Formats: sequence, C-alpha cells, structure tokens
Amino acid sequence: MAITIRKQSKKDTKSPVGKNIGIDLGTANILVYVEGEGIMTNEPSVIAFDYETNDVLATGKMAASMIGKGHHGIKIVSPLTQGVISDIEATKKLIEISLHRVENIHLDISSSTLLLCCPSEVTQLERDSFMDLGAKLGVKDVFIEQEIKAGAIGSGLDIFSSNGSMIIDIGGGSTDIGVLSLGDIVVSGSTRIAGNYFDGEIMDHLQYKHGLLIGKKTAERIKVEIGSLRSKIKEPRETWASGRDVVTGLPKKITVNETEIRDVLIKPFESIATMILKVLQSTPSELSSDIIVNGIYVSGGGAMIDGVDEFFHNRIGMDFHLSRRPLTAVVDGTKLLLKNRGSYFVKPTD
Amino acid sequence: MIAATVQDKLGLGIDLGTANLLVFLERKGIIFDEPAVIAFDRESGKIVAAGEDAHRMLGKVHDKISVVKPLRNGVISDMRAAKALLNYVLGKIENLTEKDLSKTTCVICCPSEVTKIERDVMIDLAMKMKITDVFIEEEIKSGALGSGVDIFKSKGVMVVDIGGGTTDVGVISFGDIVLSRTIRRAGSFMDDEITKYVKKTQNVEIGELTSEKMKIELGDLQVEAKNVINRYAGRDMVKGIPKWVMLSTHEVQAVLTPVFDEIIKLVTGVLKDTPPELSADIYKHGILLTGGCSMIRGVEQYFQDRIQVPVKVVHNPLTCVVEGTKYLLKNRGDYLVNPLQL
Repeated sequence: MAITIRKQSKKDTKSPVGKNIGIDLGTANILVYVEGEGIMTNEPSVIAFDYETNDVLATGKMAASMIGKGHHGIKIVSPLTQGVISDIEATKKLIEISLHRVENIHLDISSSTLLLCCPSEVTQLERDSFMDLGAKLGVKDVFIEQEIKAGAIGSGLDIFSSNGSMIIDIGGGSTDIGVLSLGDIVVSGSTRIAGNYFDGEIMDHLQYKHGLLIGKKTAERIKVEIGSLRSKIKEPRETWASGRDVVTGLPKKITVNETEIRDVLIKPFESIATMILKVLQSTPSELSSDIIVNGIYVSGGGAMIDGVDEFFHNRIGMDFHLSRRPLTAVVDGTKLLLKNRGSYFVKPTD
Repeated sequence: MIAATVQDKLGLGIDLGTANLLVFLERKGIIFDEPAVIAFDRESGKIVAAGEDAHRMLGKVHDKISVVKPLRNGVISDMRAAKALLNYVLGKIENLTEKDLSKTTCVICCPSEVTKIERDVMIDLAMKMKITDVFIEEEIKSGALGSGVDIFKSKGVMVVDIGGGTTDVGVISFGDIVLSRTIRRAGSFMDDEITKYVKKTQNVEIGELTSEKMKIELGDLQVEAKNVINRYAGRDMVKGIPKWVMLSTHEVQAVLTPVFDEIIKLVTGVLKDTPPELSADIYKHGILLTGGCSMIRGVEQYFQDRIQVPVKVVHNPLTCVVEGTKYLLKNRGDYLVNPLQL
C-alpha cells in the first residue's frame, strides 16, 4: 500500500511537503488531522497482522470487526491499552497506514510537525514512548499535549482567558478530568475507568446473571445501543445478546433491557463522579467560582451514553453540558494547538 | 520633545501601593493606574502580564505562571517583582532611554510608619532602575497636595488615607508632617476578614478577587443601609465542590465595622497627640479622607458620628497621592518652597 503511494508522488510534479499533523491516539479510536486536509482518519485503533509473515491484513473498522473472531493465522492487536502505548511497532504501522490512506496527498512526514495527545496522568516512561513513536515515524518535530487540553479547545471552550473551565473526557481507555485556565491545565485527574471498563462490566454481568459468555464487541454494541444512566426509565429499550452458555457450552441468545444495563453502568460512573469531586476539591476557590457559573463539559465517547449529564448533575449538582462533537473534540483541538505549539502564551485565534 | 531639551530633567512620581501602582510622568500626566500585580512565566522568567491583566489571573493560574503582588502591607516584599513591574511601566513610555532615566528625578511615596530599612528598599528599587536622584515622601503629604489642599499655610490639616495595605493618619502644617501613624488595617485586611467570615459562617472558601468584589459591591457603613443580598461563588470546604454563597450588606457591615473602629481608634489617638493649636484648625476644617477604602458608602458619616469632626472624602481618592507627586517633584519635598506658587 505504502509503496504505491510513493510512486504516485514521484510522478506528480509537486514534491511532498511537511505539514502539521495532529493525532488523537486513543485506546478505542485513532483520529488523524492533517493541516489543510481535515480529519483524515476516524477509526477504531485496531490492527490485524498475519501471524507468520507479520503483514498487515486490516486496520480500523475492518480489523475491529475481526475482534474475537480471528483464527490462528491472524493476530489482532489493540496497540493501546488504558490510554498508553503498549505495542509501539503496531502503533507505528497503524499511523503510517492512516496517513497513507488518502491518495494525492503530498506529505513529507519527516519535515512535518507532529502533535500527539496523551492522557493526563501518564508516567514519564509512558510519555517517552509517545516521543519514541514520533522518532520511529521519522518525524523530527514532535510534541505531546494532554488530551484534556485539546478536548477543551475542540469542545469550543475559550481556555486562553482567565475564565476557568472544567472538562471531563470519558474515552475508551481512560477518563480524564481537568480544570483549565489561561491556556493550560491547573488541576487534572485521570482514572482508567472508561469505555473498555464499562464493556468489561457488562460482560461480567451477563456471565454471572445470565450465564452467558459474550465477546467485547457484543458488550460494546449493548452499551452503545441501550446504555443509559437515567434515574427514571419510562419505556426500557431492549436489545439482544448472543454468546456461549457457560454451563452447556452451546450458543445462546437472550434479550437484555435498559434498566439492567443502567444498574451495571452506574457503579463505574459513581467512581468517575468521585474522581470529579476529587479534582474539584483541589481546585483553587477562584476557579471553583468560575466553574459553578460556566458548568462542566463532558466529551469523549462516554458522553454519548444517554443521561450522562443528568447523572452527574444529580451526584455533583452543577450544570453539565455535553460537547457538541464528543468523538472528534480532541482532534479538533489539535488543529489549534498545532498553531501555537501548546504554548499558553500565544492565543491561536484564526 | 522640545520641552525636554529646555528642561532636560524628567520628573517621575510613583505611588507604589499594596493594591495599585500609579505612575506620574511630568508633562505626560498619570501614565499608569492599575493593580500592582505581575505574572511571570516560571520557566523563562518572562513577564506574562502586568497590572489589570495580571490581577484577573489571581488565584486562577496553572503552575507554569506565578502571579506576584510585589508589595505586602505597604512595603516591598518581592524586590524582583517590584523591579519588573516598574520596568514594565517605564517600558511603555516612548522615547525613554537609559540615559534619560539617569537624569530623572524620582519621588516614591511610602506609608508613614515604615522602618529605615523599608525606606532604603524603596530607594534601592529606584537605583536598580538606574535612577540616581530619588527621594521618599509620605503618602499622606502627597495625598493632601493631590487633593488640592494648600498645606503650606499655617493651617493644620488632618489626612486619613485608607489604602490597600496600610491606613495612614497624619497631621500636616506648614508644608510638612507634624505627626503621623500607621496601622496595617486597610483594604486587603478587610478582604481577608470577609473571607474568614464566609468561611466561618457558611463553610465556603472564596478567592481574593471574590472577596474584593464583595467589599466593593456590598460594603456600606450607613446606619440604615439598604439590605442587598448578592450571590457569589466559592468552594464548599466540606465537600470541595463549587457552591453559591448568599451574602448581605448587613453581614459585610458587621465584618467591616470592627476594622473601621480600629482605624477610628488610631485617628483619635493621633488627635490626642496633636498640639492644641492645630486641633482647633482640624476642628474647623475637618478631616480629609483618601484612599480606595474611603469609597465605601457611608464612611464620611461613620467617622463623623464617632469623632464629631467634619469629615470629607476627597474628590479623587484613588489618584490623589500620585497627583500630589506633581508638586513634590517641584519642591523636592521642601517645606520652605510652596510649589503651588511656582
């Protein structure tokens, strides 16, 4: 794939140029923004290899649909776990393929500027692995920003004013909470309770309650279809779940309803609420007063669960707003951060 | 610029207060009138913001910025910040070179009861700016001049300056101070008291900016003050989450009264030590009230009720000190020369 692209660009009179690239490397999804092109990739961060030759068989949606269904010849890798890189080679491949997907793009990676977003509370080692990734891709100019900062900008908050704002990003691998003011993070917190954890809880629930083993994909589908946090559900939605019976070992199909899933989801969301409280506790009082006026913003895939704002409002008692494009907020924010290189000094207004 | 060649000495008057910094430049007027706050970038040490912009950052910054108030209780507590702030202000003046600065005469106003060392620090500050000709004057003297009172007559004048960090009380006659006192009870002390009060009664922690806002919006010392209840935001001490606070004029009054009572105690103390001939003058002409806190509603009446002497708030309580430097620069603080007649 990559080879054909290179040939193409040679044929063209235009020589490849370096561009600003922003990548939101999430546990669940990878989003790539290229300056002048927009968001080029928005797909699950999954990659499938041939076991023997190590060739890439599929990436993104294709690879995601293989999860739990592969045979011995295929190795399916989620290169990120809990928000950080666990398989650097696979991550590199995934990004390379994402960048080369669009044809007619004259992109010279080595002279580009690359912005990678990482969760708030990562260790130095984990941060370094992001830098390594940049080096492996052949980019000299790499810088790392926290997802929460990019997410806040992408959600349309003016973080460069002295007016404090708070945002919660419930992603796939980690939930990040941050209070921002004057262009940078004042207080932040992170917990690894996020999308994948919810899926795991749903799997556990079905196993213990219904004696049904289901795969990750099914669990995710259930969460997306009927996941809810509303305290009062008028007409519970229903969906089916199919898997293997724990006792008999035979395939089995059952229906699950919204109330049941809500009771499963409430627990992890309780701990997210506790985390929010913790962050609020360490927030300077002057910013607290801004937050109570402005409300708290929720972005990330978890913001799409029905009734998230209502749930947090009941627990914490402030106004919660949902980000308009919760899934692309972070990568939208990279657009602006690439302009000022993450410096709080420079306000990257258009 | 022609004028500069005729009289090539520049005059610079600085009122370096705890709350506000005001700078007066001869032939230009007041060139700076903003809060004395400065914000640095921690890593590079560069100035991020100063004055109004930095003031808005108080209590709101992330750890890459440090916001500093160079003065505490009326005296310089952070030399580096004070210097940076003055440099920033002087940098705004066009066509000002280092050579000009070395030919500048500078007057800095300070509270009445400061130690010799604290005064020297002020002079040091100017020296560091490459200004060689510096002298220090007391704020009340400058304040009286700036409010348009002729202090060079044989007429006693009493000035009470309730500023940000200190309250100065003094009696002036024949162009200089007869006696003066200072207490460190003023604007920022009142803010702290309000913060403490809200913390105690409602278990909510509020920031510096909020308490200042409370004082400005609700501060009222009139006996029959209209009770206004305003809503402010702070942080719940127990739960840690943001919370609304309702605060009324009466509550703020109850907090401010003890502070003002202490100021009144100081005023009566000064009056007691005043020579009787001057006392008569003061009784006739009244007491002048200057400084930001004299803008609190009902201050005049409050003082009058307790001291039984007419009290008048000057027309320019915030800027009178720096306006007074205009005259002090002319006579260099010499009581023999009346700059009003120059």
